[in-house]
Amino acid sequence: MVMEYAWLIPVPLFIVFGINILLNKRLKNRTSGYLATGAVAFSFILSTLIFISSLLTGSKFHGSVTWFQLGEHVIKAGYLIDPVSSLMLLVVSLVSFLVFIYSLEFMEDDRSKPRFFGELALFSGSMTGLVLADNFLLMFIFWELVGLCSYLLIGFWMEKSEAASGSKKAFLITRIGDILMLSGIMLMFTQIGSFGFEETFNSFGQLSGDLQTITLLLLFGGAVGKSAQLPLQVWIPDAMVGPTPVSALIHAATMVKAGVYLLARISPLLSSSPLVTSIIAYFGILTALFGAYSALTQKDIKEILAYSTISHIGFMVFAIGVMGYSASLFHLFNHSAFKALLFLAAGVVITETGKHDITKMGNFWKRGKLVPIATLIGCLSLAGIPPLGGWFSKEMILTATMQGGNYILVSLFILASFLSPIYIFRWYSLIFSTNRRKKVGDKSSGYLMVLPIVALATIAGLAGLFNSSFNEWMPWSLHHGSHAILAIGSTLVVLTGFTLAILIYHLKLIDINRIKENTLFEILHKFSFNALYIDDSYTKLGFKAFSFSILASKFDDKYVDGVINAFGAFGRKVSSKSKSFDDIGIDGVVNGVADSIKFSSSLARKIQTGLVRDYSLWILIGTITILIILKISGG
Amino acid sequence: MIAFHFLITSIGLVLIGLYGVITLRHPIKILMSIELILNAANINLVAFSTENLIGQGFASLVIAISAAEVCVGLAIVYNLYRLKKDIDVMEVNALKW
Amino acid sequence: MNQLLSLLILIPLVGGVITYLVGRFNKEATKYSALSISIITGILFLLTLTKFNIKIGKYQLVEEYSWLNSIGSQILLGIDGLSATLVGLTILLTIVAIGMSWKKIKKKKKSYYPLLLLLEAGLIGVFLSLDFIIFFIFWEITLIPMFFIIAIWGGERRLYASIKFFIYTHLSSLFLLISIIAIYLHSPIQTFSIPVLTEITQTFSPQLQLMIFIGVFIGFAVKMPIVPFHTWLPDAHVEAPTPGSVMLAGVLLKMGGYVLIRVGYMMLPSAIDLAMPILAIISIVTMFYAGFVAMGQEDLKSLIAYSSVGHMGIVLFGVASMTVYGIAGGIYQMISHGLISALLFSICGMIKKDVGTRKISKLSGLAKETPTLTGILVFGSFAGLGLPSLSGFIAELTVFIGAFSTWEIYTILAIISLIVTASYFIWMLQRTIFGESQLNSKEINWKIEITSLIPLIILIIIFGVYPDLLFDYINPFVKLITSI
Repeated sequence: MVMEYAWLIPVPLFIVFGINILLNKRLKNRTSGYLATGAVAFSFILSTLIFISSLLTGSKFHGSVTWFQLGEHVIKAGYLIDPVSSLMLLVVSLVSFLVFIYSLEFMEDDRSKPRFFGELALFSGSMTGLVLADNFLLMFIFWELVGLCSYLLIGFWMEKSEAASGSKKAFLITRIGDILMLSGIMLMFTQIGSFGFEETFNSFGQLSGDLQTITLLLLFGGAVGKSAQLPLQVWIPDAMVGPTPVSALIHAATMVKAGVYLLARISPLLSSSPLVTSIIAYFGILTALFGAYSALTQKDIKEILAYSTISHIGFMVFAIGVMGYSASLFHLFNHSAFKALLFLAAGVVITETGKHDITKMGNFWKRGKLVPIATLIGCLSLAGIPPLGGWFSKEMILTATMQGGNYILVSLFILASFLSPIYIFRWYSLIFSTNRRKKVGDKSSGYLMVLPIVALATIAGLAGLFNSSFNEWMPWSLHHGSHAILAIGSTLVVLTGFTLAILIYHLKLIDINRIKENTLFEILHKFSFNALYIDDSYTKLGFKAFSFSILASKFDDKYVDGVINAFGAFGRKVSSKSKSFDDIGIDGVVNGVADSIKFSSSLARKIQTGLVRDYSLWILIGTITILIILKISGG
Repeated sequence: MIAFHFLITSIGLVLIGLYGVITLRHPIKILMSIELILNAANINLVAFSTENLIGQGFASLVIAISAAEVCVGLAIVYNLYRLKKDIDVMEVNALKW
Repeated sequence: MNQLLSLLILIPLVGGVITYLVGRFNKEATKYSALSISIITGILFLLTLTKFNIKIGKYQLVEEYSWLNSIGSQILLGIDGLSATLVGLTILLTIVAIGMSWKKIKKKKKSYYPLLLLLEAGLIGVFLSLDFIIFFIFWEITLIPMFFIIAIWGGERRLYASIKFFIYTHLSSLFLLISIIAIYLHSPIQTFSIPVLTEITQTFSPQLQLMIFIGVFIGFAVKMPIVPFHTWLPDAHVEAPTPGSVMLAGVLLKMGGYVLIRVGYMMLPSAIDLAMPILAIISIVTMFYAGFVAMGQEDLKSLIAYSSVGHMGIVLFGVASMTVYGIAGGIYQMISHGLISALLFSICGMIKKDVGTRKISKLSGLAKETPTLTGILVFGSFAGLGLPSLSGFIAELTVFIGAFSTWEIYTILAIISLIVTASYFIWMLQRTIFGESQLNSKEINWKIEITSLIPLIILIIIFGVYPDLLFDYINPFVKLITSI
């Protein structure tokens, strides 16, 4: 059985991390990249084998060893292979593999290549470890390692100050979620006495209802931080300062998918709590709307994709909230394919033009047809145009939503999926469509960068074919096709959005500037657009947030960022205040005691004149006094 | 009654000696005053040793030790003079704090 | 070989004298002498561990020699899970401290290394002695070498810092002494033996225990330190030479934790039971306060010093929860913090030597200048903020699991303090390693120093991945003392 060897998947990646970091400068730049790619290729092959065997046999495998003893409880560590984890393994290792190949060329000129590939290997390794883990503790360890790697990689170009603040933000904000998750895990452990998934699932029902709700909400908090859901989504756009392959990994394979995976893992627990699932659903759909809305007007080529990720992860979380677990995972799979594809394509565009602003791009269609066509497939899948994978997964989510019968959610979902084609084709048209005034740069990309894109396009294009077999294979059942009218309706909505985007941005039949003159649209545009100026509002809101009234009035999605910054500034102020209090107040008391003793002793030392005759006088006086006392007391 | 005269004499000597030690500024004079105090004690020792000779023995011991002590004292004075070119005890306050 | 424990104390003690004599002939040879003596001590300790039965929580390898029979004191040595781990930490960190002194301590070598060995002997003595009188003697002995190390080899304000350190901690020890005397006077048997007194004090009335505990509390609160008794620590650390900081943060603070468990928890359980909520609040205040103050620090070293304060707050929090997990986690945290703070202080000293400043605002761009040191700094910072897979996480996890079953609200507050901890470390990293560099690295060859840090790094990882290595020693001990 190949599944028994699943624990080997992350091992070569960790080894490569060790080699690259320890040998660092002694390693040749090229060697480090090949080492990492070789390791990830191994993981990919193993994952594929496991995936195939899981697909064919549908069997599960659970191996574990004793890890350590905590009080009376023996903690075990092990790995769990079931359809969910084998799918995730495949997604993670596949995307990592392609991204690693892509990075070989993308990072060619960088001098710290060993560090880059080392950290990249640790990133993928931690994520596969997270997927394999059979208990919450082990999962949390890898969960944090993923956070660490994102910190290191987002801040990879260390001399940039944005890299410093972006990576700090990513780590600290996901850390908030992690702390919630850790609290949830510990709460469960104190009640159940085990970290294991199986044990937890079996005895979770014994907990009181309130405790169940709190625990699940805390775990969901972890997912919110990692998967960049409202209100902890602010780190994602700032994280774009990292190298593009890193962004691709974060968005398609590793970091943000962890939250969705966690929710899918604890799905047996979620099913028992309708309150928590509805909270999750609302959080998810609001995030999806927020992300899509913000993506509409951004200018940075990567930030549009970042907001798009927020939106699509929102869809996945929403799908979990409406109990469409397999729909969520299928969307995850599709999203991994097309988002990795789009990021890698964006990387190609950035290397070739050296620009980030899409309004200054154009004419990319002329540079070889391979990349534009591949990107088009990705965009179509993202937009949810039939018959691509994205369409199937959205339909599955819609079906699941209909089963819940909540029409508010259904309409919000359709609204969010209406926005997807608009922003992505705005992105696509501005970069690729013909524009006589814009020139294309003169650098060109080699096959190592193009090949992964083509491979991902193939996957994204063909993914839709597997939707029914996927559904059967997954451990959850989902009924199909009971809402044909709605399905057609939603598809029409998506197509409308698509057409609109084509009309506005590609054919330019509708003048976007004339729309903007409308006051309502102008306000809407501003609100959406402002999410871009995070660095501006960073400083502005940092000051403003002190006045509580402004804080309250601007309590809005995009101002959450400001609140976080205010906390930071407040912390700084408190810390400097408490430092001075510490110096003057508490330390002063300590010095005061010393000073008082010093003062009294300065009085006493006046007696010491140093003159022998004074001393002899004192001796005489003392002797006489003693004699008198003896005389009196002796009678 | 004889003892009474001896005591009066020795008290007188002690008081003169103490006065000298406390008020005089010249170290040689101080040494002389100390001799007076010691001799006052000698007078008492001799005067009260009527039954055996222990007191007289002690007196001769005191004389010997005081001689040695004066030697030490004079040596100190000599060194003081070498160091400071001045032997006024009011100027010697090296023991101060 | 029944005298293993007394040899553990005597070898560094006699070795210190030998080193001093060696130094009279050849100053360079002192460091080799000191290193070989500390390594011999280490080998002896490993030998002791082979004789040590980890399944038993009680004192083992007990040695007894008559001494002050008139007041019921004798030389009584013994080792159990708690002292074994702490003695191991002491020996390891002494070797690291010698490694860190290797090239940096240039003046008065012949008195420096003997002092370091005397410190080691004193610390091992504190952890091994089972009689209050010799315990207290060793307790005070540790102050003397530390005082001189700060006062002679320290920074600019070294006199102020060393005197403050000495007087503050010495004064607090007097409170501990008062408590010890109070225990002695209230005991029906005239003895200073800790194992005997442990059984007697548990029968004291809770009010009496609480009175005694107040003295003990002041004793360990200053040593650990706990807010608001902590102000000597940043001063002492900032002024101390790097090896001094390593020993101070790594082991001397652990004496406070040791007394908290050995005297506070084991002897006066009813007092801790009464004081539990107060102790919890104090420790939470310590964690938050230390975190915020650390954030405002300008000096890298005092930031790390304040982080020590916060970490020791977790120890108090764990022990105050009075659960198996809480105490085991507290001990784990002591060891883990010993390793992590030693690492951080060492790296801080190396950065200062290399680029000439410790001011955080001037350090930007460190990564470009000294990649290796930066790598270790990043590792140490993440270990300090409790990254899973490193030792600090296991300790915090265990403490908080223990505390959860005692208090929910307090524990959640304490967990939130981890965000503060993460913030100041990450913010420090943002200001130091990132950015354009304005520094001038001297490119010093750090081979010896980095080699001596490798054991710390490896242990931090091993204790984070395979905690049983340490829990095997801690768990039987904790089970024994909690079962009473």
